[in-house]
Amino acid sequence: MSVIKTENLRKTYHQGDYEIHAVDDVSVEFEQGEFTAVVGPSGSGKTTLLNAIGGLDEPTSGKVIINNTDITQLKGNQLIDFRMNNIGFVFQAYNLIPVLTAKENVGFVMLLQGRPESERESRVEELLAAVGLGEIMNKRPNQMSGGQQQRVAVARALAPKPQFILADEPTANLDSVSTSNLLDIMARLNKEEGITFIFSTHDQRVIDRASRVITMEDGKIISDERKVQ
Amino acid sequence: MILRLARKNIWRNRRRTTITIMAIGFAVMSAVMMRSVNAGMEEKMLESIVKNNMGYIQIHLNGFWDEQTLDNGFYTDNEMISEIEEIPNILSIDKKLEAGTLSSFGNFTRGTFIMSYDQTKEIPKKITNNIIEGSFPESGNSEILMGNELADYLGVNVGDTLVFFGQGYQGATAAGLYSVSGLIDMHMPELNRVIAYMCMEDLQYYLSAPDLVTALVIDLKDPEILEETKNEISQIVGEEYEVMTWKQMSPELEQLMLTSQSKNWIMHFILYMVITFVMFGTILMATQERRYELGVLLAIGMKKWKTMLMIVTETIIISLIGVLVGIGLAAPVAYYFHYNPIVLKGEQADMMSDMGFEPVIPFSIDPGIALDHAMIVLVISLVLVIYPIMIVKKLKPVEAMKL
Repeated sequence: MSVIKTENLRKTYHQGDYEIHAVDDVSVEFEQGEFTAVVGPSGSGKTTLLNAIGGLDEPTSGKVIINNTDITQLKGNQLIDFRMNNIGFVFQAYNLIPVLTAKENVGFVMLLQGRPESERESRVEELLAAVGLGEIMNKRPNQMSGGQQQRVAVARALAPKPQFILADEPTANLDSVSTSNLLDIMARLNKEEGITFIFSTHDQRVIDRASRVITMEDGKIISDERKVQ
Repeated sequence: MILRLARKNIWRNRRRTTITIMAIGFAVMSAVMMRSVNAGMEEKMLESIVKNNMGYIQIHLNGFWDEQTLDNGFYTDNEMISEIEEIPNILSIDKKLEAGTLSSFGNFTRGTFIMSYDQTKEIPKKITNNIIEGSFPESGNSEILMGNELADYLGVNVGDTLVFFGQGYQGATAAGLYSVSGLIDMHMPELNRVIAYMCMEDLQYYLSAPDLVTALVIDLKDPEILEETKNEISQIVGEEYEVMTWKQMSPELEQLMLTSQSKNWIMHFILYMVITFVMFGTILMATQERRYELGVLLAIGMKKWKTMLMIVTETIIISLIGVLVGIGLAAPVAYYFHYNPIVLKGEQADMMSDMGFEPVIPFSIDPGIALDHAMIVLVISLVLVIYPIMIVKKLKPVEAMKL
């Protein structure tokens, strides 16, 4: 049963007199617990698709249905709340809040959710330990390596216990060891907690680990393969 | 959370924050000091002319102000005075009797202005503080306190006796011998050349006008509510008396103060324009520089109103620190020059003296000045913060996070 579904999703940008269809009539479904890589050349619409699914970007037309809720109909704070409670994001540039420590960054979304401090503390420590950063939880982003920052970003995305994680090129700035560590963590969370992961990526190492690979070109899905595990 | 985040954001770019705080601080310091000098001079002018001499309000017999003669004096009505004293804003009521006469010693004679004081009350500090030799006259001893320059001109010293001769009440001849009990320097050469002080009873006796006064001089607790107090007094005294505020008695002084205030406000306006641009520059840079980060905050679930509140908090904190720095820098200077006023010399001093003012520039230490400027800076901040609020309002996470 699908938990995320797009119906005739379209995102069009205007550049002068030209119309660019970043996502062009895409209908796709994702099931709970999938580990999906969305691949394709630059400009093929991977990131735009992820942003639309995550409610970060408003589609020009079409629907994004998550757990039977059409998020394209949600506005303002409703959408922010839905996103915060259901979807975790991992960005290519990590996007940690520079003035906060690793611990504070991970606990930030829970703080926004109004969770009590005791719950936050235990969850943050558990997550940082799970991504192997228990020792540096009081360091700020500028005191960490890229790989460490991305692991903090993953822990942050997981903190509010989301059902889905959308990761936009999460390994693009990482070396091979960091990439491998990060993928191990994500694969473990996928398996143990049943979290659905959708990656946009160029990275073959991510593609190799994915259970499903969707290929996009010119805003359309040109192939959708599920691997036999 | 908002406060904590705002505080951390402020100190992220320490150099920029420090520059902004110092710019605000310097401007606030300049504005506070400028206003402090101005207010200090205004206070001094009021003290010289109004508080020490004229009072904030005077009551005369109708017609006295236009024709200031003893014949337009009046006998005081204690019941009326008691009724006026019940008005909450009244600080004190003093009887006033003044008269012109001739004073003569040896071969020298000069027109002299005799001012009296009510010997039943405490002697005003403006007199006691300015006695440079001798002591204050005692009632019934035919003694006078003389302006030092008048004494120099006549060639008298403390202990000498001189002649007063002039016109008394209703055509009576006024004449008497008075010994000099002391000399006074009112820091106003014009006044020092003609002034003599005498106990009221002695002056009334000299003028053959027992119990007569020319005015009741009223000091107020709060000079800001001048007109209301005047109206209340008018209702009590009725139409037989004229009630005048210092502004009516000395319109030129009010004009002088208004002109000075206008100049001051123009200077303040220029100063605050500079502050506004410095602050706006910082806010503009900080907002543009943080678009990406603000987009991330929105993407991970921070609501827009919280993001706006965070920016407002940052701006207010920076402004408050700037204001405190400014006040912190200005306060010791203002305190120092309040108690050690700048003494003018040369032509400037002569000019001030000619206008009847003591040639000094004291600084005011009225806490309202600092408060006013703190409020102005805060209002400027709150106006400027509209810009980042509008940016956040329109911000779309995806667009903001495009590198």
